Amino acid sequence: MNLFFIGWQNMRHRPASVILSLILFALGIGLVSFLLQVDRQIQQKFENNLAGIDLVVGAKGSPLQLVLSSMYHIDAPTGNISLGNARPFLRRGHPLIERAVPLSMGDSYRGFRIVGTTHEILELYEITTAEESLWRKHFEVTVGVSVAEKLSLNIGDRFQSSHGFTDDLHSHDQDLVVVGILPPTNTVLDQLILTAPGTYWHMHGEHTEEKEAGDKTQDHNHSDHEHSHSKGDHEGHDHDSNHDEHTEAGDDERKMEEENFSQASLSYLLRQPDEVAITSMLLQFKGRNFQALNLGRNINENTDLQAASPAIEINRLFSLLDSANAAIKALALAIVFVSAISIFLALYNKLRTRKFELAYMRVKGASRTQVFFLIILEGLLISVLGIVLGFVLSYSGLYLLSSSLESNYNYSLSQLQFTVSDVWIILAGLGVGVIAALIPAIQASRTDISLILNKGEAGG
Amino acid sequence: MSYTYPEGPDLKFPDFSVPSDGRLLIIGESGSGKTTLLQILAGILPPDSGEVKVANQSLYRMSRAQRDRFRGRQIGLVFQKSLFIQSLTVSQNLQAAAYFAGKVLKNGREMDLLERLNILDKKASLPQKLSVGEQQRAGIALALVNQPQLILADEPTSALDDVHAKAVYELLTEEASRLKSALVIVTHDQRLKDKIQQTISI
Repeated sequence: MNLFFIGWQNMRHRPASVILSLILFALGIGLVSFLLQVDRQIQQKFENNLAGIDLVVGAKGSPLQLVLSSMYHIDAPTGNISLGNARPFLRRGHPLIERAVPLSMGDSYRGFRIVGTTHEILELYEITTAEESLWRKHFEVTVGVSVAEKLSLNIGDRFQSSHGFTDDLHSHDQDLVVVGILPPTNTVLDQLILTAPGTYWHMHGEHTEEKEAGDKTQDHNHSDHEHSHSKGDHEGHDHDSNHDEHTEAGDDERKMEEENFSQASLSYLLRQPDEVAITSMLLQFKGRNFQALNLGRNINENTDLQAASPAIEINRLFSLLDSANAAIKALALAIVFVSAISIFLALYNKLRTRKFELAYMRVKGASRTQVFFLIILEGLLISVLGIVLGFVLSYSGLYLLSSSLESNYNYSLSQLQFTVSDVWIILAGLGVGVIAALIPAIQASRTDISLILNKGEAGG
Repeated sequence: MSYTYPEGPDLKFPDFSVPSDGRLLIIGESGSGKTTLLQILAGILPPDSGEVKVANQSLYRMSRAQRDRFRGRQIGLVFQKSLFIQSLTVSQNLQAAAYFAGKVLKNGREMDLLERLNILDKKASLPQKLSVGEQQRAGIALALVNQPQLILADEPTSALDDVHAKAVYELLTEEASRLKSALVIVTHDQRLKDKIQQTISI
């Protein structure tokens, strides 16, 4: 027997009086916890994927769209740019640019985006993995861990891509072959299918010129995302599908292999003609000096390209989200406040009916302190239950959100984890419980013991 | 011993003492100061002058907290209308009474008590589910569970018919003898007058 037990029994005895407070409290706590978790998850997602990218360069359009599509892969690309325009930035030796990663986008496989890029993208996200698991030739792909898990892809599996980011019926004839699976990176790469930039030209281009292409390349002029596949086209595909045959077929290819230049290398890309298109580039500066910071403006003013700074765009996005966030947070706090008042009222109103009971406890030897803590305990019990219920609500909400994001966008929230903010929510919740119970508890501790004996006289 | 209400009558009470297994009836009409005396005896209301000793300890020389604890342990109060913690069962109420007095019930003592009072089958019932007679007996069990030196009964029989009044009175005296406790009954119920020899009228 102890105060806790008595408090617990008191709560269970007349649940009706506390159930409203409990529900309100749980809603408030749940909403606050849910918001903070989503907030944290979004920030974390965006920050993990920032990966030291200083500038995104692509076709003219909305800068936010450019950043979202090229870095977070959650929007359509703004369009394509020609290799000719991109070449100055991709070439090694640019005075301001430390690293440049070309991206070709537009196709997907069962909702996961296929990105044509070079191995530099791994350096950008600081990912190390076995060489042999990387894409080296056209139509070879390395898949992110989430893709592999969701689609049960294994090394050696073949699939056909579809045009666009949704599962439309149209697909390209050429099979893509999985050559490797990336380790978990907790970045957007987990959700991507990586391949050589050239895969795109082969999938979308006309390959009739290939044989005449001479020593420069065997494919170009193919990234216009038109897909009228002529017969010649198919021949081209067939030609490329067998890689051994392919390398044996062209002297250039063999030469490149000998030089250890894969088709996923930047130098291979740079040897392609100017008309070849890519979608965008991710740039990392050597240093964030004045000139580097001006590079974006120069690109926007003096070229057909668009440069967008991820930091600025993401800030803009966050500030948009922030006002919505603040409104919901205010609502959640209002709910917590109302629930605190309702806990107060529930306890306070019960005092009137419990007057004799409290006086009785005092007569039985309970000290004022014990009576005080009994009421505080009852307030705490409501808030503890409310917190537990609130977290159940919030975490199941997050789970639902995560699964809906995953099924709709292949974008998963990272593992639900208990954070410092959750600890603060719990402490604040307990604090609210105590404060709400404070006045009733003081009132209760002042219960007049003589009451019950007076009643006896009145009755007699 | 005396007590003066701020704007009320000046009450004076005679000296009296009850031996450890003795009985005392304090009889008086409403407004006679009966309740005031009861409160003073129970350690609830400090008198202006005079002293109350229970088990050789002076109640009003203790601190208030000490007195509360002492009351829980040594003074068993029986009320006209029994009081309980409504959310606890009869046996949980007995345990709570021991807990507030700083005691732990051992060897099922509360069960023996309930058996003697013939309400053992109600041990797991909530107080509000008991009949009035059962409530009265459960109230007596609560007063006795800590084995007090003094049993103070406030109008224990006034609301009862003759048969029940007699039964309650007999229970009280029986249990008081068993515990060798002093039994003080404060009442206006004249029926008890010829049952207890030591009587004070106020």
